[in-house]
Amino acid sequence: MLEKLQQYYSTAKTLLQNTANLADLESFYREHLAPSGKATNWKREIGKVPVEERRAFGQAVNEVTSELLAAFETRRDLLKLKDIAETIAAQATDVTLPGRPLRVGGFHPSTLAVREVSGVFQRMGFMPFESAHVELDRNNFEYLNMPPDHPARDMQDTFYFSEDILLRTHTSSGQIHAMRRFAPEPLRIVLPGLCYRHENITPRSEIQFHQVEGLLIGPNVRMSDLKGVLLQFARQMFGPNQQIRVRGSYFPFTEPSVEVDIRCTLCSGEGCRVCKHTGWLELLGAGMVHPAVLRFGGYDPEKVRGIAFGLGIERLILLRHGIDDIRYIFQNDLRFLRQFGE
Amino acid sequence: MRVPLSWLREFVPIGTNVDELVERLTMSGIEVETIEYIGVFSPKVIVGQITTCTVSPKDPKVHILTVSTPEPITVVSAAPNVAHGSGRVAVALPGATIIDRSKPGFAVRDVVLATLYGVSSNGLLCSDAELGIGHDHSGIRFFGDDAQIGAPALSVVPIDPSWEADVVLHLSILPNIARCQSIIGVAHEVAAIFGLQVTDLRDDAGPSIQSGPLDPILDDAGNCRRFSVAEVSDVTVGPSPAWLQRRLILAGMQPKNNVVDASNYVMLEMGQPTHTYDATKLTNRVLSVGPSKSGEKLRTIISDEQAEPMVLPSGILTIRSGDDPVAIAGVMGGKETSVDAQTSEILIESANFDLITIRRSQKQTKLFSESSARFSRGVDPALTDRAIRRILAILRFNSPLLRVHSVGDSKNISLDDFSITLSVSQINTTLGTQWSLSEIETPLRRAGLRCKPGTAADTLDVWIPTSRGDIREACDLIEEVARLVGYDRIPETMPTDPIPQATMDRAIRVREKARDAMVRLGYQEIMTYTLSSREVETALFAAHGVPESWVALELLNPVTVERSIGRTSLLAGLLGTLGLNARHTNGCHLFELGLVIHPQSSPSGGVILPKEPVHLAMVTSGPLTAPSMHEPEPRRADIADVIETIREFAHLLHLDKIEFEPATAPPFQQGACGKIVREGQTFGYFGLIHPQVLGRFDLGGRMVAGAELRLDALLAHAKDHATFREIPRFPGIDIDIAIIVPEEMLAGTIVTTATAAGGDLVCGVEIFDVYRGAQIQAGQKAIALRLKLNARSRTMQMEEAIDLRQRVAAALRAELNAVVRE
Repeated sequence: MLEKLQQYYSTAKTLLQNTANLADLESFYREHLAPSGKATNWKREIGKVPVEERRAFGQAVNEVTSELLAAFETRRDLLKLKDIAETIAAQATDVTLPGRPLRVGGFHPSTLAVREVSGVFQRMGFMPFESAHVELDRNNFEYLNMPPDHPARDMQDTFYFSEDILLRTHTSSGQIHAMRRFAPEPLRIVLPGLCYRHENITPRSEIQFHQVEGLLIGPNVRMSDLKGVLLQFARQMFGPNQQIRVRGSYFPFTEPSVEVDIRCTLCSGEGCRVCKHTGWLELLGAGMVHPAVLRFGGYDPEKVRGIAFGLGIERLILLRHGIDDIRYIFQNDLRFLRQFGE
Repeated sequence: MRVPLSWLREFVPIGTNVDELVERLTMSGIEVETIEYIGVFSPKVIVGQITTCTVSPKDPKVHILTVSTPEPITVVSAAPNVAHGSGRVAVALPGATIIDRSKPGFAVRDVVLATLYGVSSNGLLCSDAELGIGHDHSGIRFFGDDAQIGAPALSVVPIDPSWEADVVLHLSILPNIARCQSIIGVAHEVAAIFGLQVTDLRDDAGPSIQSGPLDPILDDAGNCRRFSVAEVSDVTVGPSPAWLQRRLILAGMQPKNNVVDASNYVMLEMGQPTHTYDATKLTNRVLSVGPSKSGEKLRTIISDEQAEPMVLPSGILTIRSGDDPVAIAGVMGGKETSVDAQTSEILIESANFDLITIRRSQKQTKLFSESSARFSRGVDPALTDRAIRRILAILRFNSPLLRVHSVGDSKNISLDDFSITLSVSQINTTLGTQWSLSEIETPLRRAGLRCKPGTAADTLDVWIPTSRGDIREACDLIEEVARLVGYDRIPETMPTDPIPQATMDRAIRVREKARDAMVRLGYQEIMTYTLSSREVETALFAAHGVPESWVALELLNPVTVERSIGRTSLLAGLLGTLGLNARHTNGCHLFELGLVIHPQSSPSGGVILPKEPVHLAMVTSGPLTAPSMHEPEPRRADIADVIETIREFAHLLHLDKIEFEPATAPPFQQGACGKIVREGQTFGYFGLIHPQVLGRFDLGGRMVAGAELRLDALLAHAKDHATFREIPRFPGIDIDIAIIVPEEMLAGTIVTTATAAGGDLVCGVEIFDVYRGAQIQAGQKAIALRLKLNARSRTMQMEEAIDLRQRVAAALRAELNAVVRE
């Protein structure tokens, strides 16, 4: 009996060593070590041997079973490692091959720039405000201190739907709507949106473009606040060392009127082709709200003052990305749009 | 406005630093568009050293030279003296502007790379005359050996005011600095900026121009504010002196004859346009101002001899002699009464007109002149008489014997100064500064404004002359102070007023969330033009016919027909964009979010403000991802992609109760079109774009799925936040039902019926298969449903599930006549 057991043990061990993979090992387990397996069956034989041999035989059966089990576990660990190694070998990849294409959506660059610019002002407490694109002449011009035939109207060529209905030439028309809605309360708003000019479409001019305009009205508003807010803006947009330069200009709806320049972002003020060797880039137009505009908006210019500024978004995009043709913006060529990857 | 600095220097002692002048002008609000350097002033005219000199094989009079600048360049020169002299020469490099001696009179030319006598010449050796520093043109200019090679030629010759060489500033004139449309105006500005004195024009000998027998008759409406005239005889018409011609040319005008030139010269110098008539051609020398009469004609000075005279628009302001119009006031004179070579008796008109009137005349006649450019922006009414005296002084160069016979001067306005009271505290609180009274007063005085202490403490009465039409109220003076003191002297502060109560528009915020959602769903945003064309917008109706109700807002003045109406949809722009991109990009999944323009009908029939609803539209076509080695033929977009996009979009925006119903609507094809409904209200349509529509957008043969939604109307129902639903903690059971229903039966109806029949335990009904084919009768379809059951507070039992399945099956059988397959 003992002999047979020994024979079984050596056969089973050989079988175990010959298992090639985890699946073989699994069937070995079922055949030998499972509750009805051959190794387990030897336990049933214990009762069949003579009493005096029973103790020794029982011990031998237990030894064989536990040794087989230990050998099985060693074999299992080995085959597991082998299996992992095979999987890894099978998954080896040339990482320089192309990946699997994804479908990713994207924003139009104007959306990104409008959000970025108005975001900076929103963090300074300027709340977004929007108004109609098709406007009355009086909201776009008259109430902004540009009566019919005013010389400043030369500065903005206009699309007309009728004698007094037009496509707004600037977001400033929204100033009037906001003022009339909130006067005499103080105001701190940012007006983003499309504007329209009657022009030929060329690499330098478009019939539509986005503006982001800011308007701050209150009893203690000063010109110095305008400089402070715009310096803050310039630094958040273009870097903490930015400087602004404020120079005289003219807009009928502000007095004083100024242009605000920043240090050229390309040459940092050294002078280059982009800044026409001045070291400065025109950023936006601004000023203190003209008393006549405050009056049209329902405010008393004796009691409040206002500052306003407005900048062209597409010009900023062209500048930032070194694009030399504004027509790309509204052509919507995917090969253009996909470059902005945000 | 072109300002030759030699001319400006006559009135204000500016230094030689052009860059500083330009910088200070720019800062004060006068933009310098370009700077023209002529002759020796050009930075591209430098000192060179001739190193080799050979005679051209083609012409013994021509030399081919190597000139060290210090880089060696090859120059071809025909000057007789090149082989002599020190060898240090003035070289004009390509891009320099020199004086052109090949033409009569004064002219300039740009030096360019040129091939001369078969040799490429990289520059030009200049004579004194070409440099504009003398008249000698017999040979090139040589410098002494101490002239530094490569240095600007200007650094080796002492500047002389008699030079023809010059620097011309091209100024861009904004409406508030109309006064700078003259040399003297610019001189005053420069004086104010630098604190310099302006040398006034000498009022030369001659009669004063005042009220007299020739007093013009002003118009009743008062649009002519002042009108001075002088009648002059013994004028000799001929060419103007060379210096005068040169100045006109530098300022951008062509010399004609001494009479016309004198008028133009004074206009450029003082800013006062004038007009000279041949007095003998006038029917009445007492001129009058009045509106043109219907059908009146005038041949203007710029019109052809042969051309028909222009019919004057009725009611525009004219200058009249007797019954006839002789000039369009402030815009252009008539040919019949103009000065010619035989003229010896002239009448000089020097008037001032209301700027709005002149702007309207320009618009109506489409005539623009140097004169109207000034009147349309406002001219100082104090100048009319002085301009005539100045013209007379200039005419005397040619006609020393001229005699003034008679004069006139009519006006209907006051030429007195008026005052504005300014307080120091007002300036400082407005600007955020702490400037003293004297800091404020100095720039105002420099700007030529008289200042006197006001009656109240710390106030200033500032007297505004007629030359400063731009200053009307205190804010204008505050700007003048800020501008001249310098905006750089204003500090930077942050606003001290509290931030007003939030005015954030919810609609804006939710709309931006909608844009985010579309990008998250894998779509690329585009932005097309708000202006579109009738052809493109109605192309959406190619298969259905343009409905009678379709209207668009039409521009009165489109630039092109492609951009002539307000767009009525977004899909047209999207399909157009898809058509353009389809040429190079196979898979396009695009959306646009923006306004459309829907006209409103007005009771009176006129144009009224339209509605501007914000829409969202999308199109999807072609492979969903780019083909690759991993997937050479990715799945292509179809209507199911749009359906799921809208569903997921609704989910991301917290929009509930969104349902789809079959529909028929352009531009979608029959049988593949649905509408988006919420509580019985339609918010948009989706489907496959009709092939006939696709044909109109260069998309023939493709499959394009799309949708257009009334976004702002829909988003009004969007919740601000998601509603939380408990996640089941106990296992549920999925159980399937297969039914056969007629082809027309909508999946939506089946799901609704099953959901209602199942009750609370049903947490979802999913259709996972639709089968038509061999085992199913024609006109029928087999649908496989999966009921997702969960009892939420306990484990779902199989017996319950089977019961429920029976209940749902019974309902489908009873309510929908469905055959349930066991």
